Amino acid sequence: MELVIKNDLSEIEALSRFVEAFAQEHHLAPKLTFEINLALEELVTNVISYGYEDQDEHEIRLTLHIENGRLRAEIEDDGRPFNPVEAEPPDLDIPLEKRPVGGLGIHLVKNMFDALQYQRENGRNHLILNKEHVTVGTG
Amino acid sequence: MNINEEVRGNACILSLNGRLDNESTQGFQERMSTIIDGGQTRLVLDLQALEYISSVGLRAFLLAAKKLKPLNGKLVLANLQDHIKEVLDIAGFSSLFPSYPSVDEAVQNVG
Repeated sequence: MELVIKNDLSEIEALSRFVEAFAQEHHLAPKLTFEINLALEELVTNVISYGYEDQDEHEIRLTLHIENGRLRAEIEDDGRPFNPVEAEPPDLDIPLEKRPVGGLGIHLVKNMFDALQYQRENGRNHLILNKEHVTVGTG
Repeated sequence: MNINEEVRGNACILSLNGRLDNESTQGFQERMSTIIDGGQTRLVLDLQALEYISSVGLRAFLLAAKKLKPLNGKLVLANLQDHIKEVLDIAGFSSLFPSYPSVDEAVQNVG
């Protein structure tokens, strides 16, 4: 399934409906649906908030695919190059008063998926998330 | 996102119903600030009906806890569902925010 959205935070709602529709079609468990929703929201929010140097309208392309128990999600955008795979993990052992309030989004995504793959191709970011052994219900 | 507020003894119980996402988190954060500024420093978040939380929601928890710290306040959680617990565990929040299987136990432990 594919969805193309604009670089506007109000599009997150459409993203969420897209994930719900995909989950329904493949009878995915609520927990997995939640993880896909969260991952796409975190990553797309980052792209929309920090990815562009201009104020123009851009398209972000999302695809979800399941085959042989393997879930594949791809986010494609024409924002500035950004490789979340290389993002530093946050230090979770520091005390509350010193803990920075940001940086958790990518950390959540990395822990919920089995593999993240990044490519920069023809001026576009391609981020692919994979999750293995996904149970697809029969209805 | 609906937030129901109940005061029980020293504790202020907030029941979150719906999604804590980009759209709703700011309102939640402002509500928490108002409550803390109003003198409530023993907060229980009942997460039974919380469907969704992303990193912006976690950020709001952290900001509230930071605000409560100098006031010797406390923020505890109750009724975590599996998917919410997973997010809190991955974010390393389980050591920052004690959680309890019921609101009653959370109220007893919030001090």
